[in-house]
Amino acid sequence: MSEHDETLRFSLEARLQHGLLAVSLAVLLLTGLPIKFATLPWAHVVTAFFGGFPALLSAHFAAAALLAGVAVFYLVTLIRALVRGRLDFSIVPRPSDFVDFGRHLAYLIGLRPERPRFGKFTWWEKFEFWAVVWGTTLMGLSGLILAFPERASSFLPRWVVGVARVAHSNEALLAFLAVVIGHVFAVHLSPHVFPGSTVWWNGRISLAQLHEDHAALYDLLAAARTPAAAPPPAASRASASPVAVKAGPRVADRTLIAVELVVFLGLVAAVWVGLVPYLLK
Amino acid sequence: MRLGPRRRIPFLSSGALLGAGVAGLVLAALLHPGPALAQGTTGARPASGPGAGSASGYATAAGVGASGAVAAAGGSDCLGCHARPLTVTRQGRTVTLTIDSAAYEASPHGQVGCVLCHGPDPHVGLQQVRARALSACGDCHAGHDFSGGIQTVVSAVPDQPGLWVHPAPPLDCTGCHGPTHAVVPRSDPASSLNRANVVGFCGSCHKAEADAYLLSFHGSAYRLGSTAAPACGDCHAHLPPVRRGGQVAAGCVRPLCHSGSGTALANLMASGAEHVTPLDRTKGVDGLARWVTWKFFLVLILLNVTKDGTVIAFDLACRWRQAGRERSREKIREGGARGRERA
Repeated sequence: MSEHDETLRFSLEARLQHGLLAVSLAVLLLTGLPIKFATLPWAHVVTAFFGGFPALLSAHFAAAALLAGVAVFYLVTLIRALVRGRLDFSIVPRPSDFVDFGRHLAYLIGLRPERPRFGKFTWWEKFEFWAVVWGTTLMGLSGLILAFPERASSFLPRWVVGVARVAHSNEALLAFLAVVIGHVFAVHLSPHVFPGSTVWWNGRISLAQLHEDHAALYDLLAAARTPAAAPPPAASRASASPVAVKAGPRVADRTLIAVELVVFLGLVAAVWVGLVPYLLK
Repeated sequence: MRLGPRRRIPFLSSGALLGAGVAGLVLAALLHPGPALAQGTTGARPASGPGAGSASGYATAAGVGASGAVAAAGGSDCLGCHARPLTVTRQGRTVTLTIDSAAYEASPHGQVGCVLCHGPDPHVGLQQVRARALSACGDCHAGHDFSGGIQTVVSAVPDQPGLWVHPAPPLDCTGCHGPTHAVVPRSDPASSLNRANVVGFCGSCHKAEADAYLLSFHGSAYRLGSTAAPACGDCHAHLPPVRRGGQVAAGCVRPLCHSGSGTALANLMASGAEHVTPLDRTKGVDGLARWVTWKFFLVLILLNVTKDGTVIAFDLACRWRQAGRERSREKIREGGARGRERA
């Protein structure tokens, strides 16, 4: 095992699901946000790019159908794994994730010397996954109500239609900000993956990366590959690893870090300044 | 269909003002300019000076001279006098009797002539003429389909003015459609009821409703140039939408918009309030539910952004420190290597 070895992290099916999700989400946001922000000039530019409002809305519906298809695709793979007894529950949050979250923050502000040893999925990856599950369900249901209000109101109170519109519109903004701030940083701009992780494309992750971000999984993998040399579980925590990988995260250019710090803090401040007045209304 | 008995014309109730028939019509236009005039629609422009007549009425104007042959419709004959600057003084008020002949002839009414509305002898009595003029719209526009003629009216004006959305001055027919003598079809960009103007026009009084509409999906689609999205008049022309029920709903069933039967849509419309925004928390369950949902998502967005921002900021700060340590370690290594080289 060397630092440059790779291991398969995501199956072809998972990558396909991620890719289709990304395409549908991009089109949904591109065609949906102009409807929310119809007063702003760029909304008209986007509408003109699609060739008018009917085309914009058609693209939105088409992307929504694609997303629904991805959701069905995912559920089918889940059920298949369940039937075969291979369902992986590692994405389900556990109490240890909350501990990891606290320890991670403590490490980031310098109160702990070591990064927590994350398993297959870090706490923020689990958060993002369940945010997508919540978001897709909410957007799917509210979108269906908005697309067929007359049918929905035949078995739902009228105010539910109004609530669906508010929820659809604001969950869209939440999803957009979660993607452009949280996800884009995690997989593109974070200095240790900059300019972007390639695991979404070929599914492979380097052992060095695995050791940094998923140390607990790395230990399991190392133990499986070299059973004789596998340290006992109690020792594995302290004894780093049987292969030579850099200790601690890879470092990056300080200019990049400074620029990103300014950009992200500016973004967060802009969201606060933009939204807090509405919170007080 | 007749408006006369219902309509109160206070300043004329004395009955003292008789004669000068056309003056009544111009008065109507002057007294009912409505927002249409404020929006710059061409109308009867107040004039004064040379043509100012005496209190005795149109007789003064006779001296101006008439045009040639009497047209069957009465158009050019009347305009012979009324196209010129022409005013009379009534009880101390200066009343303009001038018709903007260019605007009139360009309007659909320019094709029908004066007598169709004003009768063959308009100079009979101001009150009569005025009543006649106001009810005259309904003579042609109520219950008729203009598909073979000037303009198709999708929703015919109902026969009973009591059912109209705006049954009284200043918002009777001319208040929205523009002055009778300069009326333009809705398709004309100059019309207050043109798609491009109608939301601002109605919103000058119905501000809350217009603002709520512009925040709705219909409003967004309208702003983004959809020709299918309903603007004010598509639901509210002449009758409120619930009374127009099935008629409105039938127009909504179209590809990309609403499906199913018009009845289902009519039920939807009747089942709750329209023009409600998340800010209307006092407007019953419709408003309160929106308000609560809106606040919930605002909090969710701010919490999520704060979580991401905090982690990212600390993560970057941590890497900044590590990059500094790494750099100083490299400097030490370089220094050691140079020292060995020298040795």
